[in-house]
Amino acid sequence: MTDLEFAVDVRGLTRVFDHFVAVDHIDLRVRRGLVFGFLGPNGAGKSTTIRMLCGILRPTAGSGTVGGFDLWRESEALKSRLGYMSQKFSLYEDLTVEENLQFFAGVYNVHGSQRRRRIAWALEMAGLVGREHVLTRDLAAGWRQRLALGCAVLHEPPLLFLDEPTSGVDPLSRRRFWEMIAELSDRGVTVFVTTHYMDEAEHCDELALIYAGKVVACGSPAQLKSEHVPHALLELTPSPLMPAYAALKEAPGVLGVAIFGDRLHVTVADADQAKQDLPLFLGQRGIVVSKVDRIEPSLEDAFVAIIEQSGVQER
Amino acid sequence: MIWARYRLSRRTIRAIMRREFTDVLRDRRSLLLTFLWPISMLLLYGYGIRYDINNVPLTVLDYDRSSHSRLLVEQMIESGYFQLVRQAEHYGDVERDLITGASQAALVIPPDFARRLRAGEVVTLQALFDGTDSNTATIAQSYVLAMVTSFGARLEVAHLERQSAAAGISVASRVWYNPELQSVNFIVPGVIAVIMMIVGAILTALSIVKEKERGTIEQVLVSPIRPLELMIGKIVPYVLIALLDLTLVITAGYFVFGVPIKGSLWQLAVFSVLYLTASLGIGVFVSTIADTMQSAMLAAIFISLLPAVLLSGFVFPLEHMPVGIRALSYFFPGRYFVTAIRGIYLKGVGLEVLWPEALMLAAFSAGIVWLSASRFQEKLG
Ligand SMILES: Nc1ncnc2c1ncn2[C@@H]1O[C@H](COP(=O)(O)OP(=O)(O)O)[C@@H](O)[C@H]1O
Ligand SMILES: [Mg+2]
Repeated sequence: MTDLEFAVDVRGLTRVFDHFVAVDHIDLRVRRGLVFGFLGPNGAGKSTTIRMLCGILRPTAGSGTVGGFDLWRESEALKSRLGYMSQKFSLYEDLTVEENLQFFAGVYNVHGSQRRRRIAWALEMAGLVGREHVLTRDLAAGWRQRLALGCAVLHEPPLLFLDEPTSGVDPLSRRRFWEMIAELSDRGVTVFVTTHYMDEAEHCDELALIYAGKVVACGSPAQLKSEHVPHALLELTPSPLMPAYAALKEAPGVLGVAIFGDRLHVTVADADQAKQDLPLFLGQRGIVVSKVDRIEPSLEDAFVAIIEQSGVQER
Repeated sequence: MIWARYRLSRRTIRAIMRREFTDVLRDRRSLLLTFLWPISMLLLYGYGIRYDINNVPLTVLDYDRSSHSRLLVEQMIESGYFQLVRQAEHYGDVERDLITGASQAALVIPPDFARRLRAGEVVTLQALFDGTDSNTATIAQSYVLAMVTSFGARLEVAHLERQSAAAGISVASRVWYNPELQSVNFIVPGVIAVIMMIVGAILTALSIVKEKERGTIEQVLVSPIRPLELMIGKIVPYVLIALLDLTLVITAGYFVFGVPIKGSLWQLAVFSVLYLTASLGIGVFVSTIADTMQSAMLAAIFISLLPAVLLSGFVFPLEHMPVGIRALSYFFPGRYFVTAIRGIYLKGVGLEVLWPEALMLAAFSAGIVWLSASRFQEKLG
């Protein structure tokens, strides 16, 4: 697939489970060699999409290619060219680290010196050297995920699908995991990764946002932010929070309000003007504002704006 | 089916097999199920089921009225197994007693009993049993036989079905094998049938569904593995375990209970392999309909284990089952296997007699393997 422009290129991909449309006519194009983030809340349809792309779930409709292979006719040929890590931890817990690696090497028909080399490499990459004989069950979550990634890439696939690889893993391990992703990407592997962590999405070259089964936006993180949050953003720390939230919705010059923990992100037309006006406006209603800052919109702001603009209903 | 297009990878199959063995050996529960179970089951049934009866109401029609015939009747009563209801005068009394349920067994002693015994000739006595309570009848029959043979006489046996009395009396003759009266002789072949079902159907189904439940199957299916490779890799370990269990039960049957195989060992092996194939087919079939280990266990018990125990003739003789249930038994492999294996074990007969069973088993195996393989393939594809 070296002369391939798009590692994934599908149109109208759809999956219906007994009348429930889990994935609704989505188009995806993933440029080869990129880290492509597939971002969306729980139940949005990320796993369903990834499983269709990997050939383990039959689409209800759609067409296109994955790794240059036709989605319908060549899914068998595709299988030796892709790596996949499912959302559920799916290594054999009663096998040791080494046994799991040996097992998947066997399943992928990696043999001889190649097998030794790849297993050594995977152990090294996952930082599991010295733990070859530990039962997988006894590994901490972070180690397990790294082992699972090692198992998924033993056969050196040029295309890698990772479904929420860092869920349930501590922040430090998450960082290490993303370093591994970056390393694989440097070697030319196309990585398609789903996540619902915004900070992880920032690491991706390109993103697609999926919401209620529909792709509502595509682009690089910077693009998404600048295109979908064209207005200035203020961060306020008011007390009490909820009355401030309600009041600001009616305030002049305010385009949108969203709650972020104990703070409010307020979209305004004119930042400087609003920075002076809003504390006064709230003060008249007995609300104290301890802090007002102009901030760069985050991906989360962009996501909120995109969903509001898209008009897709929550389900 | 698309299998034929692809070459199978030995490495892939070996990886699946090795993991399966590791799984069985590391999991204490499956170890118990595969190795301790067969033996404890044999011991339990062998020592546990005594099939003892006593005080079966007996009607005697003694045409001979000699000291010999009186001695025979006395011995029967003294054994405690029988209780004399009456000394009948006419054959009609015998039938009436059995039909009304006044007695459950009857013995007809011919007029020339003593004379022929003294002359060293073969005498045939007639025994009749109420077939309604088939267990008692079967056991009572074996006792009558034992006592009559100890007199050097032969026995002709008839079963009366009380239910069918209105339509006249139906008489079903059958010959009784197992002259040592050891019920364990009957148990060993039955245990083999049940064990093979447990290993073949239940363990196989559980091992596949376990992977579904834990999500590991998805990680395997995303690889270029072929359904046939996966199926072979998953099944071969259980074939080996089942054959090991078979050997274990046969050996224990011989050394612990002294149950020898009268017939040919290789024919026993042929039938076992046929039956095992059917069990494995059922196991794979169950794995395609169940998504959790619990439902797999339940389905496997209903489809494989219960029929193997109840509809095979292992515990309840098929001849005396209600017609509906007996008809049902034809749809499960257990009856063919138990009939065949008892034939080989106890009577020493072979394919020349048991070919219908062999054919039915082969047909059943082929059918279920085809069904489960296509479902397996479809599920994975
Ligand atoms: N096998 C299935 N049968 C029925 N519904 C399903 C199945 N798999 C997923 N769904 C539904 O489809 C929706 C999308 O699920 P999923 O793709 O797992 O979301 P995500 O990975 O984004 O959290 C969910 O509402 C889920 O309940
Ligand atoms: Mg998911």
